[in-house]
Amino acid sequence: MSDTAAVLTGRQFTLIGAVVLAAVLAHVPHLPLGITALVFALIAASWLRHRQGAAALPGWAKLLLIAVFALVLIAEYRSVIGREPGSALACAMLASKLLETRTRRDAFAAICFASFTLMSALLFDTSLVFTLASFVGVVLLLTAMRELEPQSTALAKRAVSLRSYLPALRASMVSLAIAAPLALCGFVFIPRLDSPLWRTPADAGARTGISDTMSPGSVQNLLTDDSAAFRVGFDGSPPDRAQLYWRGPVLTDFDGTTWRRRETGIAKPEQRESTAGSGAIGYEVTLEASDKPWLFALDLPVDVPADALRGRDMSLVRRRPVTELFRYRARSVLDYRFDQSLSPDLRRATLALPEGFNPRSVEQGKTWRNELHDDDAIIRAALERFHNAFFYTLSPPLLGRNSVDDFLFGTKRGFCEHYAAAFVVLMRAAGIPARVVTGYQGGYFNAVGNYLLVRQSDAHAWAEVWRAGRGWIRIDPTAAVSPQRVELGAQAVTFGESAWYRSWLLGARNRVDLINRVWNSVVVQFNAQRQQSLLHPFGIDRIEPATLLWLLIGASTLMLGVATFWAMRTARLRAAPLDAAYDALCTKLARIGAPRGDSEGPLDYASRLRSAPPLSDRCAVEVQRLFAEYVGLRYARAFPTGEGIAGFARDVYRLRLETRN
Amino acid sequence: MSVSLAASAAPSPLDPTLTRALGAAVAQVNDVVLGKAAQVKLAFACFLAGGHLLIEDMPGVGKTTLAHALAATLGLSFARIQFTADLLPSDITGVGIYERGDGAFKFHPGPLFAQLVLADEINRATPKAQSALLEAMAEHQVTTDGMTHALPEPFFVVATQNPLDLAGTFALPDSQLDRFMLRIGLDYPDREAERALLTASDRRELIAQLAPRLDATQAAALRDAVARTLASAALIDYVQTLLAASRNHAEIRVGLSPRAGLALLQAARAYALLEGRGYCLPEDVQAVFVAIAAHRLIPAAASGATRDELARRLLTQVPVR
Repeated sequence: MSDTAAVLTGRQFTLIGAVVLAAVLAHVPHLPLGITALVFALIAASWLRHRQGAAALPGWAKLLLIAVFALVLIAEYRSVIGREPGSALACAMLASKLLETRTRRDAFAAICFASFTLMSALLFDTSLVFTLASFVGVVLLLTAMRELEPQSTALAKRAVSLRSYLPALRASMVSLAIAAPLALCGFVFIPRLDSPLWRTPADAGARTGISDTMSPGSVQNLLTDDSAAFRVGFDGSPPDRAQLYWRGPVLTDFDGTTWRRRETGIAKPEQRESTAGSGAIGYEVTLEASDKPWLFALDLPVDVPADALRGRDMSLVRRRPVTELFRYRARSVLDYRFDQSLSPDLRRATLALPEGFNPRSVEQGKTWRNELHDDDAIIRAALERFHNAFFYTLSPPLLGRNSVDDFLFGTKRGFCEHYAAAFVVLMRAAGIPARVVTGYQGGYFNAVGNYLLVRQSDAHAWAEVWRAGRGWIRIDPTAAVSPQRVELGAQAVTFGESAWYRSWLLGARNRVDLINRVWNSVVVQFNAQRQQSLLHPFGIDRIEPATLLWLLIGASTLMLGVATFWAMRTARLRAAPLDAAYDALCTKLARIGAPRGDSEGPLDYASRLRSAPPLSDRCAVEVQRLFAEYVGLRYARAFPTGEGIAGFARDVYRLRLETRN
Repeated sequence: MSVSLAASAAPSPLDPTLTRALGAAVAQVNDVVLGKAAQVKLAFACFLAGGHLLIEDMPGVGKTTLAHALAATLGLSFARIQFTADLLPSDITGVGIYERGDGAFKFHPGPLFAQLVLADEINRATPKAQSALLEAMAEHQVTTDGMTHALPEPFFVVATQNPLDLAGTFALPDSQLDRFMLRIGLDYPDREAERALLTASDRRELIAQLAPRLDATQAAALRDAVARTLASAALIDYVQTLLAASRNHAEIRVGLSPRAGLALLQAARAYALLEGRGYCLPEDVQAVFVAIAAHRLIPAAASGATRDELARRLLTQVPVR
């Protein structure tokens, strides 16, 4: 074994420097300029120091460096806790580790830390391109470890050139390839938690949640936020997924750009005239801190939790904002009727449209009113329209002043809030009282803990229309968008019309986007739910975590076994082909009941075979000839020749043993 | 049989007369020392490899006979030194005596100045006398009164010692045992050999009648051939594995030294030559291993095994291809 205190050679140090550089580069997109400059300066300084063969860095210099880092970080971020300051700290520390790297031991420490830093970059960017790019860093890392292995001095003293690193590079890629199936096993089978583990405190600082206004884009932030909104434990079995509409603020007032909540006072007992069918469902909600007063309950809450009020729009409001985890009990009736008669005030408010906005939509609503007369038919017509020509996308094009007109007659691309808003505007124009309801839809049922997890990404907006004699009815126009028409996110329509390569570029863009989408859906968003439905194609709806663990153990053992077998086989074949051929010969002889002793030389073995012959005469002669050939190759010359080995191996593999009788 | 196999792999580098002479020499010694073919072969290997031989056994099993027979057969000048407690170094090496006529000291060589020296019962002498012999064995020269006198070539010491009768003996320290390339035991002859021994004529008479089978040039040529015997990379691997195993064995406190490794390889070469081969096989190494290793290994305190057993165990534990 080589000494861990051995001083690094120039080529080793260069490689470590490259590893550190790669790890830091992965963070550059989000590092502030000052820190980037500092880190690169450190790397350059280390390289110069090593070139000049300077002595170890004195202790006070290291302390000074750390102090400088702390100052710069605090000046930049006002904190060292969180994702951004944390990664900046890691980069700075890594670069300064390079500055004091002199020996093999230092180099290993630097490599370990570089791998951590490299991985932490994935907290910022999980796109396919970035992930692939980070693999370059991983390959460099493995190459560096390979170069640090003890090797002959002649090898270690080679000049620093790209070519001289090729063998180690190739070896590291091979080991990466061997590890890939195992990594895949781990990825698929290690039991997942229902929310990511590695959210750093900084994320929690800017809390997201449903607000009481809605203007284009407001829900979008939520839809990309994977953090939990609340968790629900049901008294009985949870209701159907399609019934899981968690009612939040109801938005009635529209000024042309923004939807707002309307203070309606407290719900009155006579509002809810009847509940039909099933009884009430009881459940307990644990709400994450949101800094907002909204409580969420299944459509439609019949009980009011302690410390909360129920508005006349049937939304629950707490008396003060939820600043920490808040738990409440509620009961809901899924099949409900309320507000069977509408107060004049409310009727006015739910029919109001701002003057001078969205003329075409208003016109459309009026046309429908005149042509179809019937409320049901109008609602159907609107939903039909969404179903046929609209796309669902999280990156819709920008809308102008008449946002609903632009959406309905222009872009036809959007997500829930666009659909809800457009639908309500159309309804109001057609004289049907309507309003927007915000909240959450669905959730992920965690069978292990027997609770439903609702994430911010489950945020939703839908519409409610009022029908005489029936009261408020929930309509979800987003659901009307044909599932096949969910768009891949390509912003095709924003392209200029003039360029001749438009269509080609569009196609390429769509393909790239498709790849990204597949990456996102298959890899990045592979969550507990997806994992548990792994065996769905085989008729098993969910896998228990224990089963997953067994699968993991089984699959990894299998992979390791295959890899080990392969590695041993190729190593044997490559390192000692003569040994392999001789072993094959001995194995063949062992099969007919004449095994070779471990410490039995070829001569002894051959004469034993001859004195107690288990073989037919013809075979015995051939076997003796093979032994003579082997001895000649292995011992009668300093090194066996390649052709000789090949010939011997061929003869051994051709040998068919016949026993006496 | 094994010779024929070897012959098919590569021809012997020896010229036929030399091979024949060597075969005749071995056969002649075997005619005198009955039923000890293996030990005789080892003794020849030791001589060809340029080492010295230690024979350790009870009195009366033929140690001296073997030494005499070797000397007579190899055509070497022979001297016998009976080691006793009052033996002085100068009794062995020789002494400078003042010559009145010349007016100067003249060196009178001791019995050491012979090609084959039989050092009988070496453990009876004091360490001082023992080390005089051992130094001469290592250096092939004797220094007295500031004068260095070269010993004749070939110089071959055959020492005997009796392991049973320990009263009044000075056992050779382990470090000194290392000077002997091979250590062999003779043991009782088997029934057949003993009968032949009992019925045939006196051994001493037989030895007196022996004619040399090898002359000095032939002996030198044979020793040359040993040096030229091929040890392939694979064989050296095997030797190294054996050495390493002896150093990392739980039951062995002190393993084989590099000098022991050299001796092992050299003796294996000589043995291969005796087998009529120009190259070494693992079997040659195995044949000489116990004689090379047993007296050099120091067993761990906890081990109940004898040195011979340990050496044999090493052989079975180290795999070979």
